[in-house]
Amino acid sequence: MIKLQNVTKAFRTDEIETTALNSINLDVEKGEFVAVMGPSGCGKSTLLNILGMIDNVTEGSYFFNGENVAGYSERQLSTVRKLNLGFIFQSFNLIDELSVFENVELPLLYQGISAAERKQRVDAVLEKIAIIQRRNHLPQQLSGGQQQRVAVARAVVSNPKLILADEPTGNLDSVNGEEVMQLLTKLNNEGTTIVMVTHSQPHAEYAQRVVNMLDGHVLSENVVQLKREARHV
Amino acid sequence: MFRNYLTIALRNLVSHKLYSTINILGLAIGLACVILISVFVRYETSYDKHWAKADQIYRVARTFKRMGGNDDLLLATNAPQTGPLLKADFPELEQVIRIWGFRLLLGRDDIAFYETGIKFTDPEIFEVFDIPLIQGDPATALSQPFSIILGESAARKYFGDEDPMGQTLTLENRMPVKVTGIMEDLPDNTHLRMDMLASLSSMAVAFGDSFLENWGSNNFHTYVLTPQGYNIANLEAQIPDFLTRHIAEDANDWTEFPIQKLTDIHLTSNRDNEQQANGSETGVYTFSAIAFFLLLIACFNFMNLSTARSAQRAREVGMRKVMGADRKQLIGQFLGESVLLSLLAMILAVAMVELALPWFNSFVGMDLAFDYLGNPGLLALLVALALLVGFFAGSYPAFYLSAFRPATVLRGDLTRGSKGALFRKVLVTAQFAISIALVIATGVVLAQMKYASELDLGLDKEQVIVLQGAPSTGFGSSYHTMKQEFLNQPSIISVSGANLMPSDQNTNAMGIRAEESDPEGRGMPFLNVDFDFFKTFGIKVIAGRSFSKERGTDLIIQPTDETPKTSASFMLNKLAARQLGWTPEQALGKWFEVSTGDRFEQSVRGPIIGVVDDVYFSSIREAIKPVFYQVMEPSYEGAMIPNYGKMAIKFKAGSVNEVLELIDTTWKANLPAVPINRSFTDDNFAALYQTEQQQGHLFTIFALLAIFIACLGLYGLAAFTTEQRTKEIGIRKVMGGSVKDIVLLLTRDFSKQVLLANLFAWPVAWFLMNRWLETFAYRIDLGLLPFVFAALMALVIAWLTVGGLAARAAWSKPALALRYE
Repeated sequence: MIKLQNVTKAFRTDEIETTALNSINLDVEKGEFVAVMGPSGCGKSTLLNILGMIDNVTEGSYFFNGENVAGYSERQLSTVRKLNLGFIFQSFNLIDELSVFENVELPLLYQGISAAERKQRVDAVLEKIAIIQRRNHLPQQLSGGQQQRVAVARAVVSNPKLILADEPTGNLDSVNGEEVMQLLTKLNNEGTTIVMVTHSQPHAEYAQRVVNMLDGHVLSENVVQLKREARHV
Repeated sequence: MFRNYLTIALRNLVSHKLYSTINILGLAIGLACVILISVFVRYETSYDKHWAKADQIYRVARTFKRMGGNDDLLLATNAPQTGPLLKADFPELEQVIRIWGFRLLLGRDDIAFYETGIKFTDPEIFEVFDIPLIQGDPATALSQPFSIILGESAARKYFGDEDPMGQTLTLENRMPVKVTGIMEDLPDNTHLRMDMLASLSSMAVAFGDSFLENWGSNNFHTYVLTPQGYNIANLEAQIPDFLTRHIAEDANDWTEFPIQKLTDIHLTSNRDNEQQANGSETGVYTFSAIAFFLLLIACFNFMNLSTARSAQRAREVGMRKVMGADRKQLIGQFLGESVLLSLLAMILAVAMVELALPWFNSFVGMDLAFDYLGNPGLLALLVALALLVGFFAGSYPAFYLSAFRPATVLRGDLTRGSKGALFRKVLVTAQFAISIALVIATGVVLAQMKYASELDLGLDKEQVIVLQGAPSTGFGSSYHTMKQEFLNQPSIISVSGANLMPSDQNTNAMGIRAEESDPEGRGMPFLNVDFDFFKTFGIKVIAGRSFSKERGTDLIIQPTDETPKTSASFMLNKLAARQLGWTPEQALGKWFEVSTGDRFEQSVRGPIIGVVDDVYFSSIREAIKPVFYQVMEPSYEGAMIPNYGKMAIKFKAGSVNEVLELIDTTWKANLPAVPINRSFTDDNFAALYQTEQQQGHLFTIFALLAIFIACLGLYGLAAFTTEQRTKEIGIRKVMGGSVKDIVLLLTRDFSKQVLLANLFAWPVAWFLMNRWLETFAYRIDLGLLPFVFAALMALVIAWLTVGGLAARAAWSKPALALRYE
């Protein structure tokens, strides 16, 4: 599904050039659950931004479902993003002025889906994530765990093929963190591809494969399959 | 989609009340000013456009070109025979009429009023001006002498509910006139001031044909009606020949007949003898410009405040983009927010205008209406204006905010591009430049007004009451009786009489010649006085002596056909002496001759016995004129108007009440049929500057508003940059910076912007105020004081505005600032 070929990302100011990603190669198959780990500043978040098409590569190719989106304009990226991707962030990034329902319906709004269908799909997702009773609350009225669950609901409401999660449990305590990881696992079992950046080793082991990064390079990849299957037993 | 935008727009408004209030308030003030001034401008530009044949009507005015250093005499009026002669010589003109007015006493039984709105005119007036008659036949109402048509209000005033038709009123207690029609009151937006119309032929019958045959009696407003599509240049080209034909061979050397388009008169004509004070085109432009700039400031404000909040909205923008919004949708969302805000501001603005309109009306002396409910066109215009402002003001923030790249903002990295910051700084500098310019203008206007009121006029204006007698008879035979009764009162110091009193405008002139000067003669303004004039007003005699009754030879003896050459003594002012080529001492004893008939056929000649100091007789907008004084009896037998009909009473300070009482009783006893008319000279002088006073007030208000709005803008910008530098402030405090250090750091940047604003404001203000001051013959020097004051004031206000924010930021705990997530 995803194929990064010699992808480089550099940030340039007037005098300084910082290379965040250095000729990365990465493949992700459909239905995989991949975790990306590494110390601070290694380029994990940048990698996620590239994968999520919210940032452009400086060099290299990014094949998404066979299309090379590396040279796409903002508008073109936006279209591909709309139809295929869902995002979950460490700091939730809900819009404070909108209710839970309104936050979750946002992606559907931008796809021009009718009000009736929106209502039906959003309510269905809220049920599935078990947050329907907070439907009309504002983010400030929810706990951290509940906010992240709403974020997850928002990420999946448009039935994305790929979910990108940037430290989804970073701001949560262990109980809530576990809950979110369970959710992600369930989604993956239903066929959604997930790429997750994380600091937490235990949470990384929910994935099938762990990619380790350092200083803009991919160091190694470990397969975690055994541990995962062990959990399910 | 729309509902989502509306929801978030409203919720944003509510959750950030301070910013919303500032934004709405700022925009509302700007919009209210625009609306108010638009109503005013629309009205001012509508004058005389309602007449059916407005485009075909022109006024034939007159100019006397002064030779030898005097200004031209610009009259709105012309000689009585001009009208009929034009009609005879130019058959292509459809109609020509004259209007003559004079302040006259009109009475009926016991009641009498001074009327300045009675106009005597030709019966064909209705062919030119389509004044609707409620009663009476326009074709015949004025064809007979001694006919009068009353306006509705006048009819009510004199007759109440009775039917005035056919009844009689009396002019000046001696001329009966019959009511032959009732007309609708003229609307306010016309330069004409006609409360009643009487037949011009009445005057010819009453005073003889010479009334309508005198090239020197330029008191007749003359209007021509041209055919449709006529090119007025045709007529203008033939005027010079017309003048040579009817006036004199060399008439074009010293006189002109400028032709004015009717619809231009109100805004562009400020000649002498206008029917009433006209408006000013400059005024219309100035106020339009001010309104525009105020709105601009308010829009700049909006832009600044919106982008200042961008830090808070950045994340939202990033998220929406991640969720699939493209830039167009985001622009639409933000434009929608600003349009909503603008519509709310418009509602508030309309409320403000409603509240301010009565005050504004009394201020400008008009009756402007703002009828938006009854006028769907106006309502649509208001909504359109709100939309336009919303789009304009919201454009920059919309484009700015929607440009955020999701990766950038979600990373939490809010580095502002230097381009954005520069634009905002430009906006604030522009706001302050406009405000500073307005403050300077206000300062200069106020200073000039102070100068005018404190100027040493060369005469005493305090504790002087001026009485004005009946227009055609003055005080009649009671002058000396009344004067003596006043002088008997110990609190009255001096009493005198003259045809004009200080604060009046002197547009009279007579032909004179003098020893050693051009034998052809020249025109010179004059004043008819009695013996005590200079004493009463404390005017200094700087050479020779004042008029003296005892001498027996000073008094003017009026020439007649039997004795065409008579003698008297004359006095000049210093300027008149200089114009004749003399120092005050040199003028003494030289002979001086005044022509009372045509070209010195009848004249008065005599020696100059004294020279007085120049005095500021009228408004300081005019230069002092050369003047000769002649001492006369109040009136002569058979003359149409008295030599002088005004009396001045100088009284001791503190005795004003008893003096007023004495005046009233003496007047009623001596002139029972004439309504009392008295005023204070110092009030009369103050009234000369009423327009300027009003302008000063308006400027002050606009300057304050501009500063207020600019401060709102500055506040917004300061709030933004302070917020942006929170982390920096925290670090500086941890490193040992004090509150004072932080405050100085933050205010330093804004000080630079305010100082820069001065750089732009000063030249513009200097240029404009110089032009304004030049309309005054006597004026203050445009010194540095108002400029420096405005600069300092702007600086202090900026410091207060920013300093408060800076102090608050400086006091906050560093830990809060450094915790960055």
